[in-house]
Amino acid sequence: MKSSLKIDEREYCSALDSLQFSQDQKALLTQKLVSAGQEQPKHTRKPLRRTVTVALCCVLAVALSMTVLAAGLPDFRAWLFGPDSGVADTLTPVSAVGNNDGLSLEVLGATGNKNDVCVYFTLQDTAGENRLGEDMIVGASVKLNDEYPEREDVIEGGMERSTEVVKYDPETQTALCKYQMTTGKLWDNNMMDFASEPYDATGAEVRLRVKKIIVYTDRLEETPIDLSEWEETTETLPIQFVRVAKGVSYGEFEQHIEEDRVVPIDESEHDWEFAREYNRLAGEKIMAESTEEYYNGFYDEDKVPVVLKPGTGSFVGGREYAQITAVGFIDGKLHVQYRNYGYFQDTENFTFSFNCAGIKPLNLISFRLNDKGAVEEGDPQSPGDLQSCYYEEVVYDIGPEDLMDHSFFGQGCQSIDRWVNFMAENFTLEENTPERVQELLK
Amino acid sequence: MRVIDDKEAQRLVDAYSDMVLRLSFTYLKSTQDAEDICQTVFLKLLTSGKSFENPEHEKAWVIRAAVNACKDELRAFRRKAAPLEAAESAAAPEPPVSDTMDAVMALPTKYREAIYLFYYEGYSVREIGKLLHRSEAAVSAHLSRGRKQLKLILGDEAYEKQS
Repeated sequence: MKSSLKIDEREYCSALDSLQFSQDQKALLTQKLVSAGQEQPKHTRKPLRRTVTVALCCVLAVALSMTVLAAGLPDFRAWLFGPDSGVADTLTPVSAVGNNDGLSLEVLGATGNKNDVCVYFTLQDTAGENRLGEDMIVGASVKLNDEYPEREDVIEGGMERSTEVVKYDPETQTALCKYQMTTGKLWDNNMMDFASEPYDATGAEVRLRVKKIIVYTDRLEETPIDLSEWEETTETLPIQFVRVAKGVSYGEFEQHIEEDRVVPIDESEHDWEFAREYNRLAGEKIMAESTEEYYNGFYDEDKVPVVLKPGTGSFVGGREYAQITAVGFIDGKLHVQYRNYGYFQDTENFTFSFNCAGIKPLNLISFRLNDKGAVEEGDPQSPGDLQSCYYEEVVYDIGPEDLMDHSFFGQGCQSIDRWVNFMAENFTLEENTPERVQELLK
Repeated sequence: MRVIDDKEAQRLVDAYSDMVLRLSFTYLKSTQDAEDICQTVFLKLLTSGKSFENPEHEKAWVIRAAVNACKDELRAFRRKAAPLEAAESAAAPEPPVSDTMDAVMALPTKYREAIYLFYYEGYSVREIGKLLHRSEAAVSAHLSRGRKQLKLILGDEAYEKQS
């Protein structure tokens, strides 16, 4: 029998299900949070500029909603059931709708057989706020007979699914989308195993839900970058501090660290921040296995890791979110540093990546400059963190003499997440014939 | 000072504490450390004044904050001795016992995180890429390599029973 490369996901999920807090532990956790909150610093007030922007956006939104699209839906239904779509013969016409927050969802047609389900639906921004686009990702899910998949968001038992935008009409801000699912095997609680056959979707009652829409507002396609033209950065900064280590005195810290190599930057009353160097000097015994694995190769040399001193740099392709801030060599290895403008900006996302054709990077260091100008290694953990200057520095095993032998490029995008949550009325996957389709379309 | 609403704290703990515990355990292999991540993430959320458009939005935020907190934890100094506050804490949850679970936990971090988010939380490869700030190709590769390594660890028999 040919083996499938799939893990025993049910056993894995069951094992994880068993990992949970008891009610007492949850109560204690809640109590700790409430107590700890009383020691937190005051939350920084948002700048007035942002408030004004939000107010202006609200005014604009109201103005736009006053001019709600008078035009009706484009005739996607006629196209879908016409000769050009190529699916007219297989599709059963459906009329099921759902609305939420100025967006409307309408199911036009569907088909389902033993293992496959296909649903065509339109999404329209009825408020005319341009929240949809041709180049967008739609997060949709389907539940059959209110029982499959058992957990709507979970892919298990060999299930596959996808959603794509087939057509988009900018005038009416309407997209025609296609949801496709190949059913997997349903878990049988009595047998404590998956069913022998995939879930049969024939004649199933369907609930379609749309949860999220990601719209790309800008794309920086693969853009060549000539590093030989960059002014080399020679100044470096030590990576100093990682996080707060509770309960360790500064005296204990000093016993391990030479002061001229690492300097504390945060002297809060209860906690000290410690240098990465401390980890290394403290020895492998107290480093968790996962930590060693994570930093495999990072502590090869007996010195404090450094990064290039960030400069102004320049923007790739004229994009503000694609800013290379330093290029230089440290220990004979190429370092290229760029601003991390925020994959954690919540609903508005900026992504930029730097690549070298055919060469994998040795390391990628995420860090920020804190308000004292020191380098703190780590990723941003909340949108507020990005008020600091975050950077990423990618390291290649390429020396100065080899630079011309390689080609480099950058690419990125800007996108906006639209969080929605609405579903169409339930409908049934009915068997169809060409005659019946024509009858239903009348 | 921002006062934390105990009802809101209770709601967050009820809604997400088990999820953050499992996700953090996947990274840190320690329920004690995972419990600390829960506190870190919830405290950040409760004091941020952040509002969300819907529960899915909030869940994604919590996952992303937990992932980043775990990564920082992995980079950081980890004390083996229990912290002082542990004396007054209830014991951390017991780690799960399962051959498949043990095999998954033996994988490198990047494979574990992809497997957890894909199989347990049900995120698509594209969504995982966005959550972890990785390309879809990288997430797919991590899932694929993770499965192959699991096959080596668990043996063909564990796989054939599903095929």
